[in-house]
Formats: sequence, C-alpha cells, structure tokens
Amino acid sequence: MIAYTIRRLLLLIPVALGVVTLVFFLIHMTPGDPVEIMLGDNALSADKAALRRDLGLDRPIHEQYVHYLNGLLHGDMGISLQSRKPVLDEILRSFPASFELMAGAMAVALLTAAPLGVLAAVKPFGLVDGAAMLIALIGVSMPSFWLGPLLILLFAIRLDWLPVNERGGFNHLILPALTLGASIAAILSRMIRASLLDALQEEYVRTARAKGLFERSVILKHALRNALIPIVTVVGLQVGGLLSGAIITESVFDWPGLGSLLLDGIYARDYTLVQGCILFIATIYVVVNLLTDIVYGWADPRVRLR
Amino acid sequence: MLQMMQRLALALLVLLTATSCGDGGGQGAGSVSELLVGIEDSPKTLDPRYATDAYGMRIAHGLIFSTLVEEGYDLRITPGIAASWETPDETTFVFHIRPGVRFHDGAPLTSEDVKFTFDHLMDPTVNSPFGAILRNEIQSIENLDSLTVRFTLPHPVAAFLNTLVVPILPAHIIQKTGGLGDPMIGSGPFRLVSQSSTELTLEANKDYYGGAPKFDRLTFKIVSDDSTRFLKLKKGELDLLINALPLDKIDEASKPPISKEYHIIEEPGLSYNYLAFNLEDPVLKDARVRRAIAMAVNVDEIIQHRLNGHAVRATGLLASVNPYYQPDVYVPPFDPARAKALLDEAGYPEPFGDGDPGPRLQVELKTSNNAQAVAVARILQAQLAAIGVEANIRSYEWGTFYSDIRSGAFQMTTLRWVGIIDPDFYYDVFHSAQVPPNGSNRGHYANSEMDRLLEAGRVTLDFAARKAIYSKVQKKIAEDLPYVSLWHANNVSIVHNRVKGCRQHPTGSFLSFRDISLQP
Repeated sequence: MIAYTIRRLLLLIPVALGVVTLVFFLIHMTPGDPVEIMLGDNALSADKAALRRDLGLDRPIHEQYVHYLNGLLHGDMGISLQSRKPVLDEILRSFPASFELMAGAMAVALLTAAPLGVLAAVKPFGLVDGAAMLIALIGVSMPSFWLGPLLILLFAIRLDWLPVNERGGFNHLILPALTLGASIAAILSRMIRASLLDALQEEYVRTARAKGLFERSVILKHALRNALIPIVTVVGLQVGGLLSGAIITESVFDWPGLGSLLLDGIYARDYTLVQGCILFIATIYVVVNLLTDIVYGWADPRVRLR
Repeated sequence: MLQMMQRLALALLVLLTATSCGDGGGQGAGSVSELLVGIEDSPKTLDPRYATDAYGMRIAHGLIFSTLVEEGYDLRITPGIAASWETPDETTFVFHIRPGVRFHDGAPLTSEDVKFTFDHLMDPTVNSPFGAILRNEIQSIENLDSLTVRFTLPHPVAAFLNTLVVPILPAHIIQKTGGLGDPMIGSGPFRLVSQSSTELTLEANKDYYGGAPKFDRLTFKIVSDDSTRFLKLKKGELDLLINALPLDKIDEASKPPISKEYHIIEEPGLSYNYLAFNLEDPVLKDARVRRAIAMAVNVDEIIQHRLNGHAVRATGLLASVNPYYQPDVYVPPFDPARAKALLDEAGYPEPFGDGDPGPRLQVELKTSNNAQAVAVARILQAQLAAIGVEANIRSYEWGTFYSDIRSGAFQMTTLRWVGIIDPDFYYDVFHSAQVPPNGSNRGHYANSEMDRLLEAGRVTLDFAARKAIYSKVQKKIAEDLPYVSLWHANNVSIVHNRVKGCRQHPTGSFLSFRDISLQP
C-alpha cells in the first residue's frame, strides 16, 4: 500500500508538467496584456515597458517558460504580477478558506443525503421516497447565486440570526455551507438511493434476512456498506471540485477561497498566479483521487491496492 | 450508523442555535467610533508608488498618505502639505511646507522627504508607473531650507500642479528598509492597522496636520457581490457606500425601509461615457456618417430608461464642474430624418427604396461584457436600426476587449473615461502623435490645427488664455465627432443617518472622510 501510494504520487510529476505547460501557453495566448490591465490608460508607454521588463514579460515566450519551469524545480512558483507577493503565499492564504467551506458543505451534504437516500431506498416508490426525491430535485435545481441571497434574506436580514457574509467563526460558515451543500446533498441522496436499491436486490441480503437479522442491521451493515463504492466515488469527485474553489458561492459570501483567487488572476492576466493556482488544483485532484482509492479498499476489502 | 447520524444532527442543531444568538448588534460597543465603508474590490496594492487602481489610489494616496497639493472640490488645486507656493518664472515652482507635519511614526516631514519622494519615483529602477510622467516634467529638485523646495522644469508645464498630487513618502524608512514600513508609514489622516482580503482597517491619526479625524476607526468591508453588498447595507452593517451600488439598488435604497436609516447624496460626477469611432475605418472616416449616427442616438432616452436618471447628458470630456468647461458647443440633435438624409448624401441609400428600413450599412459595435455596457449597446443598436444602420454587437471579457481597442481592432466602441480633471487630457486622447502605444488616441483622430492647439494648451500657464485654447478644442472636437458624447454618471453616496459631514468629491475620492463625524 505504501509502495502504491508512492507510485501514485510519482504520477504527479507528468500530470504537473502537462498541466503547467498547457496552462502556461493557453494563458499567454489569451488576448489581453497584464501590464496594460494593471497600469490602465494613465501610465506612459515608457513606464509600461519598464514594468514589462521588470516582470520579465519582454522576453521570448520559450525563455519565460524555461525560467518558470526552472523556478518550479526549485520550489519557486514565482511572484504574482498583480500583488507582487509570492504565488505560493497567495494560494496558502486562500486554501484554508476553501478547505473550511468544503468541509462545511460536505457535512451538510452527508448529513442530509444519507438519511434521505436510505429512507428512500428502504421503501422505494412510496410516500417517503417521493418526498425525499422531491427535496433532492429542489436542491439540485436551485442555483447557488439564487439560493445564497435567499438564505441571507431569511436568516441574516429577516430573522437576524446569522451574519450576511465574510469568513469568520462557525456561524459565518453556516449559510455558505448550506448554499453549497444543497446541490451536493441532492446528487448524493439520489446516488445513495440508487446504489442501495441495487445492493438490496443481491442474494446476500436475502441470506441475511433469512438468517433472521433485524432489517435495520441488514440495511446498514450489509447492504449500505456494499453500496458505498459509487457513493465514495461521487464524494471524492465533489471534494476535489470544492477544494479547487466554488466561485459563485465564494463571490456571494465574500469567501476568500481559491476560486475567487483564480478568477481574479484570470481577469488580470496574472500569469504566474493562474499557473500556480491551476498547478495546485491539479495536485489536489491527484491527491483526492488517491485518497478515494484508499477509501475503496476500506469500504470493500475485495479492492486491493497494488 | 443511523444512531450516529442522529447524534451528529442533534449536535449540529445545538451548535446552530447556540451560535445564532450571540451575533449581531456588535457594532458601536465600547467607546470606539467606527465608520464602516463598503467597497467592491480589494485594492490591488496600497503601496502608493505602485497603486494605479481606483481603490488603491483613493485609500493610499488620500487617506494613509498626504500630498503636496490636493485636488479641491471645484477641481482647482488647493494647498496640502505645502501651505503655499509661487512661480517666479514659468519653469520654476517654489513650495513652502507647513511646519509641524509629522509621519505616523512621529518623524517630522520636511523638504528632505519631498525631494526624496520625487527623486525616488523618478528613479527608473524603482519602476513606478508614475516615473516617466515625472521624468518628463521635472528637471531638478532643490531644498532651499528644511521647509522650502524648488522644482525646476525643463519647459513650461501648465498642468504641473496636477502632476504633483503625489503622496509624500517617508525618506527615513525607505532609505533604511527599501519598503514603507510594516504597517506602512504615511502622514495622512488615517494610519493602516490591518489588511486582509475581505477587510481593511485604518485608525485615526490624532496628529494629522489638518486636525485629527472626528472618529476613531475606519474599516473598509470588501464585498464583491452586488446583492450581498446591498443586503449588508439593508441589515445596517455598512455606514457608507460611494458609487458602489447598481442603479436599481440605488432606487430601492431611496425607499423605505432603507430610507429611514440612510440618506442619499447625488451629484453629477466626472466619468465620461462615449461612443468612439475608428477614424481609419473606410465607412466611419466620412464625417457625414458619424454625424448621422450621432443624430440617431437618443441620449436622453438612455439616461431616463436605462440609467434611471442617475446621469446627466455630456457635451464633451469635461464635466460642467470643471473650470475649463465650455458649454457652448455643437450638440447633435436627435433627428432620425436628418440622419437618413445625411446617409443618402454619403452614398448609403435605402436598399429597397421608400419606406423599407433595411440596412443601408453595417458596422460592428464592440463593448466589454459588463452588463450595463451590453445593455446600452443594445439600445444603441435599436436606435441605429431606425435609420438603417445595422450595428452588430460584439462583447468581450475586459482583457480581450481592451487589447483590441488598444490595437485599433474596432469600428465603434462604447467606453468611458474616469477622473478627467485637467484639460491636457485632450492631448492624450486626440493629438495625432498619441495613437497607441504612445497615448490613448485609439480612433486615430488627426488634425493639424488640433495638434497645434493641444501643444499650446499644455505650455500656457495663464488661466484665461488657457481656457480660451481649450474652449476652441472642445468646440472643434464636438464638430468633428471622433466621439459621440453620451453621459456623465452621477456620483451617488448612500449614507447612514448617523454619519454627519459627508461630502462628495467629484472624483469619488475619499478625501472628505477626514471631515466626517459620527453620531453615537
């Protein structure tokens, strides 16, 4: 398993190189000039040329590429063109916020999806199932730019229980987590229902029931555990996605996460920042995928990691 | 597992109710008076040597640092750190610095710091975006004594005092550390305390030379989402928004329940919105076509229905508050019939004979993807369609759009200029030598008489003579129509009733914060 983990982590090297190369050339080919965007109309062309020289943007693109790769090899992601702070610092400043939001949203999603999905699967096509799936449909249909302000209106303005926006203590996390968690809960509960329904058709379930086990233990111990693999897959994908930033929710709640950082970087053509962010996000995906695979082994011992 | 989930759900519920009670109403606690200002973006940098974005400049230049001279509410230059100045000849300016001005760390601000500031900014290795402008206009700086500085210019510069609205840097800190100190040391009415991506905190500088601000703390809340900013205002979590709400939200803020807590200050501003032509385009270089288009545009309709009346019609780049403003210029009347006749004359007749409005000609109208810019482009498209001009709208993300405009890859475009104060701005926009990358003459307007006037205007120091020159400039540009002037947007502040003494600066700057007081 350790060898497996190391091998998977080594995979990062070609992935990172590919991502960096692709992003580097894509962003440099995108129309728009970081110096023009930064200095605007009032600066003279001499100042623009000087800044371009200072930032190394006047050199041929292949030289910039080699320079950037060389920096990466030495653990240097470069300096943000806009803020002139190290890119890694900027990313590490935003990442905790993204992580917090991810954890909150996943907590909301799991806590609502698990009971909803299980209840729906136990009595399929019944009243509970219909209600649960209707809730799921509503959850997935509400875009976060709409649900977010709506929750603010109710909980922050009307009831005055929670703050409007900003990152802060636990009560600051509730509304963004609900906003982001709602759609994931919807996807997850449907996934749990479908996966559990399949598992309940299996022969070992019939055997378990024949043994005279309690229905509760049949469902939770035997069927649910076997139904976990697709659920873990979806959760893993969502975690990876959320860690790389939830731009709309971040914007509604002024959450200083990776998504906003990356988006601002793209608008400003902050080449180094965009490259650094995407490299970081790619790394997260590889790591989260690895963790997902490790969890597979726990959920289903038949899955061996070699 | 179900039990575990139940327990978790219960725990979450308890946490929810426990935390929900303690929040809100935390402001104003204790005796610290705090002004909460909502802004849309975080300043890119607060280092005044490099800040070029609006919020960076307003906060760094106007609040944390102070300048030698200032732009007054009537756009004339007023004393700042320099109490007075004289100009013995056209290329010499002598400034007398107020005695007793101190930096935030207590060090006195003297002519040393003034000389150092400009030498530092002009130093090419510092790479300040203000460097080249200063190098063009300043030959040398000498300290006559600890409170007197003499600037020698290579040639007369009419707008030199406007160039000097530059924050004075602490020489003793930069010489020692290369930076501005942590937190940075200025001499303005507020000092920087802390900075994060969502909040900026400043506190009053009790030793400010203009008198201590009348409240203790100034906090900027950075709220990028329009709806969220509005909801924060609605909840009473903000005291002041300056030009930081979309138009429909302004109208909502002017009605109860918000109007019970807040009042609105609205005055015409400086920002200038226009429709620009590319004069190298084979169709648009014909003045008759440009005039026809100008006559088809109904600016009043746009102001009334799209801008909800929060703007005034523009007749040129300068707003009416500007001392150089010339009101008596050609304003294209809204006259579709005359516009069609002009198009006939220019060789673009109706394609299918009488009555059918089918397209006489097609043009491309480029805009940014900003929602308001696109909405205005659609109105212009409909207005132009009425005279048989088919405008195809192309809207792009800002970086792409801006690079197209700079490279002249456009036929027509809608854009705006902000903060035009000195009329020398006309030089940058309409002198034939100022096509990009040198300047901002993106439409390639070229006229030798205009070049001569603009060159004269920048070296004429006498106000009356200079005003006469720019009157001619304004009249001629209005005739030649390289731009169709659209509107000047109003400055709109939404102010909590506890905030007293709030005054709007035409540029939207934060200079008036030092005069604000807060009622408990």
